[in-house]
Amino acid sequence: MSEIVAGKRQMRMKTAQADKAALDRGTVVRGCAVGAARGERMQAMRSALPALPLLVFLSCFLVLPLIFIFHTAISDREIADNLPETVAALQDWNGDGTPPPEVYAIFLGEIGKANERATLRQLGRRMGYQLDRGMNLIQKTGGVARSRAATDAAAARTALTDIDPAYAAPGIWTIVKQHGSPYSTFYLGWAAGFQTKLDKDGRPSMETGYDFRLFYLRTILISLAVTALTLVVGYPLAYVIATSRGWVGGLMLFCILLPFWTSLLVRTMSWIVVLQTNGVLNGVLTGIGAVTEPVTWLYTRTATILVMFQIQLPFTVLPMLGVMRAIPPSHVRAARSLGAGPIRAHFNVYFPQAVPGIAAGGLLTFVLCLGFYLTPALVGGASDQMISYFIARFTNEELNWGLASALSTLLVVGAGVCALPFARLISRHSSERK
Amino acid sequence: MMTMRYRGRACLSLMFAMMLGAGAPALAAELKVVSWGGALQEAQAKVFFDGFSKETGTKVTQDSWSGELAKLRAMVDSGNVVWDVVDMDPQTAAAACEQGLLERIGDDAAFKNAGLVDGALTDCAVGTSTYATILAFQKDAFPTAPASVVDIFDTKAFPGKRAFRKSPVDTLEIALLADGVAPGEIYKTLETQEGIDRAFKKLDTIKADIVWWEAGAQPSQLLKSGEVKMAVAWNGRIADANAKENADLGIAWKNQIRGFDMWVIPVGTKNAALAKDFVSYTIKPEVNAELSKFIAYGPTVEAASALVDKALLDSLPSAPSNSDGALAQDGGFWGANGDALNARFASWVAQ
Repeated sequence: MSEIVAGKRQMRMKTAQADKAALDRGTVVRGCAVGAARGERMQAMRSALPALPLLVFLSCFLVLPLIFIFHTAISDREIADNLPETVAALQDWNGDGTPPPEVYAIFLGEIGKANERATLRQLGRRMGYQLDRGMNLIQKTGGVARSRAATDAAAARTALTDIDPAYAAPGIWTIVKQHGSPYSTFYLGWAAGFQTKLDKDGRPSMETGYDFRLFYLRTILISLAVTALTLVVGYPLAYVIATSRGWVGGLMLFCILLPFWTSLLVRTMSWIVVLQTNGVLNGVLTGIGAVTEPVTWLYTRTATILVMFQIQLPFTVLPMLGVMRAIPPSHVRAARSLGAGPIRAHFNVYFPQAVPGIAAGGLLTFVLCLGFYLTPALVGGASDQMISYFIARFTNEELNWGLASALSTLLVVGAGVCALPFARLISRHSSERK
Repeated sequence: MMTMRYRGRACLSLMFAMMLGAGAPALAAELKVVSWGGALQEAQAKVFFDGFSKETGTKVTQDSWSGELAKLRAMVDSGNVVWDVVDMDPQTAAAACEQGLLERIGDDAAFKNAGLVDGALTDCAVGTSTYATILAFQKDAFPTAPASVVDIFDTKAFPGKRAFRKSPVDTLEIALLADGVAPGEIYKTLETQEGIDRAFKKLDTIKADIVWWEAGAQPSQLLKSGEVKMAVAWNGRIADANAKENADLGIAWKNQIRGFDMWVIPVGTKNAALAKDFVSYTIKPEVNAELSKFIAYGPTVEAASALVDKALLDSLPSAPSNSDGALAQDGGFWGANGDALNARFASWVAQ
């Protein structure tokens, strides 16, 4: 009897154990599912870990500088920092005629303080960007404010209008009133080609400034021309290299890569030797009798496009080559076997598969061309200078960082907008390949 | 035991090295002088820098620039001034002075009593040599040689490409001279909007044929390589190219534009006293006259004119045979209007 009880107890224990085991297994399975999802995420994060240095690098050297440049492009602090009380006093002025005399007294006082703080020069420069002879005006006023502390409003008004009649006109007061905030779109508007300079009466100035729209257009046209040229010449070149079996392909690839290994400056200077009036090209042309007088090649648009084409050719050919090498030759053979002629087979079968490579190469070249500075500066004429020349000029020579940043911002945004559809095309291709 | 001996020796040599190190800075003071590079700077190095070094034991280091005032502005604004003495033309010096970038050395008794010629001492600058902007040309390029600087505007008699400095200074004056304005009226005309427009309209007539240069050594290079047939250039550089490189270039002196090379001392430099000593050294009559031996520039000290070699006198800007229709640069005008005209000129060139 006890054996039966013992046996039943054993069976109950076994069942309980079996139930428990089943319960545990279920938990394990469920736990596995949850754990598996977590494990996948951990796996994904761990596999992205090698990209962490790249992300840090990009954020330090790409994102942060871009943020700094954009911030500089919209910063406009000089008037807000030096003339805050004048700005406040001008808020009640309606913009017609001249402001009330108290404003003059406040203004004179703040100019004196700016002079002591040694920030008058920056204020003068900023005024000069927007007002005819604005810098001279502020410099002169600073000189007087130093030696004279005008007490009452009428005396201040007389003192200022004696320095320059511009103070009796609305121009300068309109400018001060409108730029009381440390941020403004002044530099962005200037970079986009909007008339920003005023004469002393507040009307648009007669002075013709830089025509930035023309420079942007010129930059885009030159970049398009160079891109088209590299594509037209580079496509057959890449095709030959990709499909050749002997030493021809290797040799051509070497010839394309060799200039890559010399400095950009050396390449451009050697073109000067070739293209100058008594240079190699003119020597050959006059020698074979094609021309009687040496042709002017240097310092022209032709020279700029030619040299940029030679420099950019590897950048176009190499991405195309990468994509073309992955196209199976059997596809074209199949098309031929189905009855297509060689040209039709190429354009219907080979070319569509090569399009992402063409887009990649063309995009790379176009965006690089937008930023070209050295080559047009050395072999181009004065009217061939691209937008980077002006960004460099405003950064180094005129020290107008607001305008340089605004020009850069517009360039980056424009390049991004152009690049977006092509980038999508290329990424679609690479994801299809996976 | 051996370690202790080594330690003792090590201590001794360490103390010795520290004493040497502490003593070293007191030996040589250093002065950084910035000039325009090329033949001018080589001549100044031989006469001024080496001479000053020998006399005072100061180490003179050199740098060069092409008149980019913004670089100096950036230095002074950031408080990190590394240039002690800079060679500037009068207009840049006037502009920089007005903007508070330079020490006001014009009131120093040492310079006031040095016997400088008229115009060589301004508020912030001391003149060290006189140069002229002239017309240089290839001698065999034309049947009749150009006689005056304004001939650069004559495309009928002198066809082909010509070179100008990429700056409104001297360029606008030459344009107005070519348009018929008398030398005495040039700056009065340039003060008015119509005068400026007139100069740019005159320049528009030859704009397509202009090649622009920025460094002083470029005009002789462009002429030698045949890139241009005539060029507006600084006389000393052309004379140097003729003497050292057999360039065989002609010079048209009529309507030359005379200027000064002036020393300035940026505000905030740590060696201001030493810099003033250097400037005083260069305006000693015998030193000032010495420069003409190495480059065709004239002295700025009255007493030095008598000390210049008679043979060299004819090649100097001040020679009577070269001074027909000469115009002296007005530093004050450019100081006041330089910024605006520079901007207008740069945008005109780029279109």
